[in-house]
Parts: sequence; C-alpha cells; structure tokens
Amino acid sequence: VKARLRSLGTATVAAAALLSAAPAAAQDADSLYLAPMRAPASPAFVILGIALAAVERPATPQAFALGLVAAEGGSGLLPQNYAVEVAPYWMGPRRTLTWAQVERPGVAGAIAQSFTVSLATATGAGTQPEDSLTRVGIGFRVMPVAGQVSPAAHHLAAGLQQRLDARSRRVVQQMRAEVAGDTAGVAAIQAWLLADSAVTADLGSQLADAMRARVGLIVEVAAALSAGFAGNDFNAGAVDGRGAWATVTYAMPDQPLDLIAVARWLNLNPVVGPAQDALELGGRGILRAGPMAGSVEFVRRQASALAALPSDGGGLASGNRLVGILEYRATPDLFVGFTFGQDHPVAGRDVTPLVARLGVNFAWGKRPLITGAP
Amino acid sequence: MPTEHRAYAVGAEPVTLRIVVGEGQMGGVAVGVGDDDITAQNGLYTLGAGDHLVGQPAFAAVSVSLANPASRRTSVTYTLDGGVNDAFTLEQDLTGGTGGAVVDYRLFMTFTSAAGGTS
Repeated sequence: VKARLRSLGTATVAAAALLSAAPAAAQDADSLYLAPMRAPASPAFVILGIALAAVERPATPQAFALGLVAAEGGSGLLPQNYAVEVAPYWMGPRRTLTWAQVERPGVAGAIAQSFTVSLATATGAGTQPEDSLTRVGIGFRVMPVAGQVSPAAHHLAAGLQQRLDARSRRVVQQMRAEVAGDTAGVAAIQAWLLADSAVTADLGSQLADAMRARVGLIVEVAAALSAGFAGNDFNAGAVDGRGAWATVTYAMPDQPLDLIAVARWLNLNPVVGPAQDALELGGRGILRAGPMAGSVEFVRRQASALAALPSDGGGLASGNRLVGILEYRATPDLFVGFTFGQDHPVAGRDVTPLVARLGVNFAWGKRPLITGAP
Repeated sequence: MPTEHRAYAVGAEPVTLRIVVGEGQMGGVAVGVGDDDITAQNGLYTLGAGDHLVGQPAFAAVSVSLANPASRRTSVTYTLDGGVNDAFTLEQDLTGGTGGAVVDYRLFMTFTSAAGGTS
C-alpha cells in the first residue's frame, strides 16, 4: 500500500484543471466563469505528496477552484486525485472593498483576502481490494504579508484610472443627451464608448494580470492534515499526516526573479509503518520571461530515525530533493508545467527517486461574459 | 449598462452623494447636476441646496473595470443624504466578466420638494 501511495508522489503525470465560479446562489449557469491558470499547489495536495512543486509560490486566491491530478499507474483515463480550494472572502459580495484596499490591504486585510481552505483526495488502487487506500487531506493557507503592487501595475493603474475618469464623463454627457432627447448626440457618444471599450478593457486586462504578481516581501503560512482509509473502509480511517509550513518570498520589483524559502514540519503516521517527524528547509528561485517561468527547487529533509524499517521498506529518509520546473502559459486558457529531478530518498531503498511530472492546467466551457442588465 | 432612476425628496439642506466602487475594482466617477459637473471633496459630491435641485436632473456615471484578479464581480453603492428622509443607499452589481472588462453604471436622479413640488 505504501509503495502504491509513494508512486502518487513520484513519477506523476498531472492534468490539472481549474474551474472557478461565483456562489451558485448568486448566479445562473450563464454567469459561470473560469479562473486564471494556477498550478494545483494547495496545502491539501502538498500534505498528500501530489503537488507539482514542494515549494509553492504565492498566488492570487480565487473564490472556488478545482484541481484534478491523474497519477501514473492509475487505472482508467479519469484523474484519481481531486482538490478543491475555496477562498471564503471572495465568495460573497464585497460592496465596501475599494481598489485601494486591494492595492494596500494591510495585515488584517491581507489575511482576510488570502485565506483559503482546501480539500483533496488521493486514491491508490492495489491489486487486491484490501490493498487500496484512499487519503483525504484538508489544509488552509493565508498570506499575512502580501508584498506590494509592482511598478508596472502602478503605471497601468494610473493610465486606466485616467481612461475610466474620461469615460465616466462621456457617460454623463450621454445621460444629458438622453434627457434632452438628443438622439444624434446619444448615438455619437455611444459610438465613442464602444470604441473606447476595447482599449480600456485591454488596459484593464493587462492591469489584472499585473496585479496577480505582487512584488517585495510576501509571507505565506499553511497547514494541512491528512487521513488514510485502508481498504477504503471508513471505519479504518485514521489521521496519517500533519504539516505546517511557512514560505517567504521576495519578488524583485525590477527584475523577473522570485526567491522563495520554505520551512516545513511534517508528522507522518502512516496506516502501515512507524510514525516519523521531518523538518524540511528549502528554497526555489523562479526566473520569469514573458509567458515562461523556469525555476530550480531545493529542499533538504531531516527525518527522525525509524525505530524499525517497515517490511516493504519505505519511510522517510533524510536527504535532498532537487528539481527543475518549467512553466509555460501557452494561452489564457492553457498552462503547462514540467518538473524533473530527484526526490527525497526513501528509507531502506538504495535508489534516488525520480521526479518527472507533467502538469497541464486547462480551462473549458463558456467564455467568461458579463451578465445582468444590458 | 446598468441604469437606475431615483427620485429623492429634498428640503433646503445641502444634498450630498457618496459613491463607493466595491469588490476591489477600479472605477472612474463623474457626477453632474443639469449642465454643471460636480467635483468630489474627500469622496463626497455636494450636489447643492435641496430647494435649488428641484426641477434639475442630476446624473452619476461610474465606469468600472474588472481589474481585481481575485473577483469577477463589480458593484457600485450610491448614498444620497441631506433630504427630508434618511439617507438611502442604492446598490447595483453584476457578476461575471473577463479581466479588464468595463461596465458603465448610471444613476438618473430627480428631486422632489418636500413641500410637494416635483422636478
């Protein structure tokens, strides 16, 4: 069973999709929209050992996101591992939240806006029903220090504010023309507004993209818990993992470089085998170039000694993980990531585990659109 | 574009309008009374004395861009104050939209006299 589970965390082909929607009560099917691309690195995935990267980079939370991971060795075509991540703050209306509070949220605002809860499942199918094991993870993360808006975003915001001010003045002119019955004037301003919409929307889109990448010092704290159900027997369920970690990111304001450090504590108490603690310290450097990002990740694990080696080998061993990660945003709806390198060693096995994972995040369905009154 | 028409009963007191662009989105705001444009002071638009507003149309336009990547909502909250009744708040919102999409919110205001006259 343990060997099967471990296969989920090593050579993995991941197909991850993100679907984001506003609360069902607040919208109909036509107003479903898709979230921006994001790697499925929720804490619940991390505690289950199926995340693409061990050192997550900070990301803009979405109201609701769904991640799917198909693991090598799984049966059938459908992914066997799922995660949902919910940002409660963004699930309801925020009528009093201003742009300034998003640009500079402060500590309390950053905590509220960034808090997410994630749930994930990972299934390892055995040759016999009693060998199968389903693991369930729950985690949260929060970003008490959210960095700053980038200089590029500041520049875009100033330009967009000017355009929106000018546009709103035109709209008032149009309203005056309507009251005066000046149909020609209304039509002329309508034509101006239509022409302006594309330019202003493009600028707004650029700003939204720029706002996703904050710069400076960013601190994120996460924790997660997992439970295993041997033989898929509910009554056999037991907590088999706990973890807490912090990531500190420094995103350089004027360079396309992010440096991330992580400190993680893990307590694993597998269904089969002895309990262990592990402390992981590591870092990741990310170099961004347009839609591409390349990164190198190094994590040093110090695991507590095993009292007795499990019969199938396994258990955590102290050692290093060193991987390279390439990410490419091919289109606004398609994100591809590839991870390759060596994973942490496994106790009792004289091999260096390989990490070779291909992650694809894709969006499908309706194009996002404005709904409501015309 | 979302449009609202509201009548507001006024006396002689100054009437003010406060506009909040919510959901952490960016917005441009313009307010006018008749042919005059009104500028804000500390986010508050003073439209004028109530008895001078009767008979004049007033306009508020808010152009909102979906620039907050964490939300696909836009909302505008208007609060009129200074009339004979308590301040009232009008909320307009939309859900869904691409990043950067622009939504123009419009509010037409007319003022009625507390003594019984209309605009």
